[in-house]
Amino acid sequence: MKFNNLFFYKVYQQWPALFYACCVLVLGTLISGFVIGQSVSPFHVYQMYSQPIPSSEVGNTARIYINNKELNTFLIYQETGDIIRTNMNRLLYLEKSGFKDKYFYKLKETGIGKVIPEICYQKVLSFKKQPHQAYANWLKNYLQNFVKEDIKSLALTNQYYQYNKQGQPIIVKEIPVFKFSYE
Amino acid sequence: MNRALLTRIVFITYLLLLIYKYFNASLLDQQPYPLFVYPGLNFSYWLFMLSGINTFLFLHPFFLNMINILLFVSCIGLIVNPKLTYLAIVFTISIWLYQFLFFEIVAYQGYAKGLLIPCIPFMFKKDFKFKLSFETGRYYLCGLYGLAGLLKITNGAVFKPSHFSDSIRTTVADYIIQNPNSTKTLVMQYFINHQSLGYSLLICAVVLELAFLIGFFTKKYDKYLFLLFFLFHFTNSYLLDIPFINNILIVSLLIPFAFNQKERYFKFE
Repeated sequence: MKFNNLFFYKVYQQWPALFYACCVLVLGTLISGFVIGQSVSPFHVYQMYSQPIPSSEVGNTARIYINNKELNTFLIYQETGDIIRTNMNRLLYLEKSGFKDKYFYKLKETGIGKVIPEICYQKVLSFKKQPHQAYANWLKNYLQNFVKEDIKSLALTNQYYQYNKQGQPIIVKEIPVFKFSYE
Repeated sequence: MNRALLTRIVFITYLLLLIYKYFNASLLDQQPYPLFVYPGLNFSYWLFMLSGINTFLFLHPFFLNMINILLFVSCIGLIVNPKLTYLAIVFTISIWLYQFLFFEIVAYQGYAKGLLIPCIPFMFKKDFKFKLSFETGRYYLCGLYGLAGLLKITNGAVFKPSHFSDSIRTTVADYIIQNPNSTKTLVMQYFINHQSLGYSLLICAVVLELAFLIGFFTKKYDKYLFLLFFLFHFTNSYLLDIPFINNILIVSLLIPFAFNQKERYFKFE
């Protein structure tokens, strides 16, 4: 293989700015992947499922009830369902963590974390808790676009599940988070 | 078969994606004011949040509508006249703004490289810059997936026989609970209960990802990488319920090399 024929040599000759940008990207990506162990923007790595996941039989998830009937978020459009599930699961996570993102604690313990200005922790990694009514209203307004019936009541619960021997998750506990009427 | 055709292929795909997002009500003006953010370690997103641009835009729906209009108009404009590279600049800025705002809507930072990267080369008017940036994008794609395979080895996932079963268990519990009788659920549960089969599939996935490293040495197998990309993501989508619609465009970086047209794709004539 001739050195002159290498693509990145051609980039170096014809467009040095791109070459140097590539060098930074490669170095940053390798550090993100092999040293830090996760994506640190703009150095993105697909590290999902690269670390062993603990064999856990239990977990929890958000469940929504419209007019006392459970909503299957997988029967509406995929991105819509994703938006609903991730927002409600994010609510459950933040309620459990005192409305602070996990990086609020994780970063502060590291060397880099001590250099990051406090304003980042306050404005980016911590969140103001709102009354449950605000979350319910957001959800109702959003869901009404996709649900044929009028939403007269809306409830959110935190469902805890456990896998049985047949590989089926069974609900073991369901804790109400909020319920509101809209009549 | 030239740069104009390649531009049209990529931006028709972008247009179809935008139409899909419209029907999913995930365009910016179709969303209420977001509830949460998920900043992660995305430091460019942190700067975006600290600037207050996100708050300003969400409070002024006129600008959200403008971003949507610019996305569609620039996309259609490039399909009609691929030589208007300034429209690619407008599109790239709009799609990056869209995606950064969408991170807040979805309260998660999903994989967005497929949406953000492929439009960048089309911003360059000069054919040699277009060619070099496009080909750099191809190496980026190969590196992204090859590195994913390497990380599964260095981080240890590949050495845990129950890893695939555990991944399904953790990721799709929600789906299984809400859809207990679907065919997809039965397949997922089969893999949960048959760890050795799941482990074989994990090894295949790692080999498939590592195969992208071949792209650093030769372009002869790009059409197979093109097919492997879809095989990998369809399987992920079915067994782990991981959507890949937003990622699909990144495979366009293999098109010129996969279909053996090489240099002609990088010039308008």
